[in-house]
Amino acid sequence: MAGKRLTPRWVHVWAILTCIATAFLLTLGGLVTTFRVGMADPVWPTEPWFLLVTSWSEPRPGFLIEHAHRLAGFTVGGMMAVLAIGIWWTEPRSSVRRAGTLGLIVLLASFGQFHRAMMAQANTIEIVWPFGAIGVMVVSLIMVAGCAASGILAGHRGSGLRALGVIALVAVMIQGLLGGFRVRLNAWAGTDLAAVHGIFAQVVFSMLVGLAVLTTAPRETYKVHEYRGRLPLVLTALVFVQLIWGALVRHHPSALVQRFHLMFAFAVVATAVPLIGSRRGFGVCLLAVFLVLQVMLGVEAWMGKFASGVLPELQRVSKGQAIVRTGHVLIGTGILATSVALVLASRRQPGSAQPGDA
Amino acid sequence: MTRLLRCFVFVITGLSAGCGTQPYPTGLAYPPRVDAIVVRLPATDAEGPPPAGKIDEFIGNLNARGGKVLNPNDLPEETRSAVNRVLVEMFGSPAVPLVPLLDVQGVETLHLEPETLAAGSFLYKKHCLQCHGLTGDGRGPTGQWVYPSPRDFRQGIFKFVTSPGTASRKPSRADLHRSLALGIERTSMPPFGMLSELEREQIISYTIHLSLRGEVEYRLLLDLLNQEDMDNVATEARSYLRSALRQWLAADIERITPTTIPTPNDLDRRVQPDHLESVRRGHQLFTNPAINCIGCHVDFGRQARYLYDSWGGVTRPNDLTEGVYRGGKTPLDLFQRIRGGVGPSGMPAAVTLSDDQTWDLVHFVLALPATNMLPSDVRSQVYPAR
Repeated sequence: MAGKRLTPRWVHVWAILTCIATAFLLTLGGLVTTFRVGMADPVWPTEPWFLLVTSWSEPRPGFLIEHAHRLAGFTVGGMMAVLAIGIWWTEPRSSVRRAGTLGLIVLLASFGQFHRAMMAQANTIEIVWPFGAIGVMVVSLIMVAGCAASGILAGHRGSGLRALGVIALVAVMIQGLLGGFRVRLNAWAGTDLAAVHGIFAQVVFSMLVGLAVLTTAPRETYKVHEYRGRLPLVLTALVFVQLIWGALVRHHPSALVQRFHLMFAFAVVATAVPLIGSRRGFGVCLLAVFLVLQVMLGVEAWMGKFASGVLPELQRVSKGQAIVRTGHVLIGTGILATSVALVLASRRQPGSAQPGDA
Repeated sequence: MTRLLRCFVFVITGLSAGCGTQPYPTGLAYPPRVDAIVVRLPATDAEGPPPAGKIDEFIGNLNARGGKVLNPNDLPEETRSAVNRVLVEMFGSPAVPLVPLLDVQGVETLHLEPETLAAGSFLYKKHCLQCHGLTGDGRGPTGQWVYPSPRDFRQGIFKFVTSPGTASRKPSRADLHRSLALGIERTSMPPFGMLSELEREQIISYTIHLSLRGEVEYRLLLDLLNQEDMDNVATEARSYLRSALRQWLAADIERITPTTIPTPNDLDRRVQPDHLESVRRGHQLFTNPAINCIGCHVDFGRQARYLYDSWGGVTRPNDLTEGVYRGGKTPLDLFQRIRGGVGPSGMPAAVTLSDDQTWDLVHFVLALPATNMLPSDVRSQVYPAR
């Protein structure tokens, strides 16, 4: 039995499409790291249509992978903007709805202006920060955040979802900037920012999955004894920390990080197995499949990277290794997303509860 | 809450301990060269660039295209070991890089002290290794996926050099500094202008170390593969090193310098009659069969012509209508490029041109991408469709 949706159906469909596009973006991002082509084009920003106007005649797969990642990033950014506005449009108070929408549009426009200002200095060493655009971004963000907070404080239905929509939009914008500044500040930060970009991608994807889950129609009733409990939450925390170690293994494979990644793999499996054993449902089944795949891919990736006797930084990655390593990253993201979905499902109020069930 | 805080501190501690570039392991050695050594390039043009990730196969097949390459793996194992032993004694390892200075006069200006090289090695691992590789062979993990291929330092030859001399002359430290600080436009070489001056100098010192090591290895292997007499590998290696050190020193002493340099005001007068006349003369020189710039830069570079470079790879003469100049875009950069040539790419040094003629060429090349900067008669020849 389904309760009343918090948003129109198209918003839920759009949220799912955004998740799919983001999964594709993460795959390309994984390939960028696997093939180490994050700096294949040291110029950032470039136009969204850059791949259409550049020469394809010469063999530059690194360049193409990296720019395909940028193009996918632009696409996800655009989809997220539509999603955030679509979710916000469900705000019941018309004045707050208009103010929040205006704030979101100004935020997006000033972000575009920031992007243009950075593009004008793409070939310079020093960065001249466009403080005007940054100021407008901050003011519009405060305005939207205020609108979102007022809904939460007043206990309006769906206010939490709308706040998450705004947070996810800002997170996507930050993620785009992290990716760009990973290129722009390469000399200063090396691959450190790339690691942060990789880790934050997991946070962003989790938020998008959260939006997809929360825009579904809530069930009328929940079997409380089945869905309550801390296990999904603990699993989510462990998986997230494990993904941090994973990102560091890919970018800075020090001995300590390698050990943490192995230890947390055991911890994640030890937490997931009782969860899988005690419950039923699509999410738990998906988690089990992901977990089995992840262990297999992890072993293969580990053997390829650390058992070859060649320093990881010196290894030339074969196509097979690239598939294994990128698959391992992607399945890891899938495990996190599934854990987040289980947490949200276990915490969600029944659809009949009114008000403030978000 | 306290438990959560403890978890957070644990994670952050782990992160900060695990993050950051580690130096090379002390047990790591430079691997011996195994890729083919180019003795002679094919006389014909290449069909196109090597497929991605196939540069070694491409160079290995040059014999079939009329070139000549030698394979270091053809040497007996004990000979290879002897060469490797000498290289380790002379140049150390990635973690402890060395260059014996051999009492070459003035060599201290190359800044090849062990501590500078060690600092440079760490920075190289962080910033350069993934493209340029452990030995500076341009075959790092990323190198195979980008084009143009990253520079192979091991033959001691470089493209963008402002010192006068032969095609295989060395660059000055300032030349390397320019490429490092500003990057190389429309390639994957990023600018490292955000590094401190000291860090850039340390990377340059380490690059020279890799180049010296690679060049000594290259010359020893070439001699041995050509079955030339070699009484003592170590003595021969020191002789090659001494010669290379002197060339590096000479490169720092002299630069290609025009007797007159146009001031910025001159450049602002680009639409004035005298400047347009210079552009017209430059166009005539460019298309003159005796100088034959147009022979390689076919249709001013718009038509792709692929030529073999000194490393056995492939280079494409620049499309000058795009306004992208990898060796620098100032008039002086272009003057030095034309006068000194780009030896490894096969662009000859225009030593027979006077300064005025060279400036005419520079003015024409700089005006090429902007149609309104060309005299109408020249424009109609360069851009007949417009």
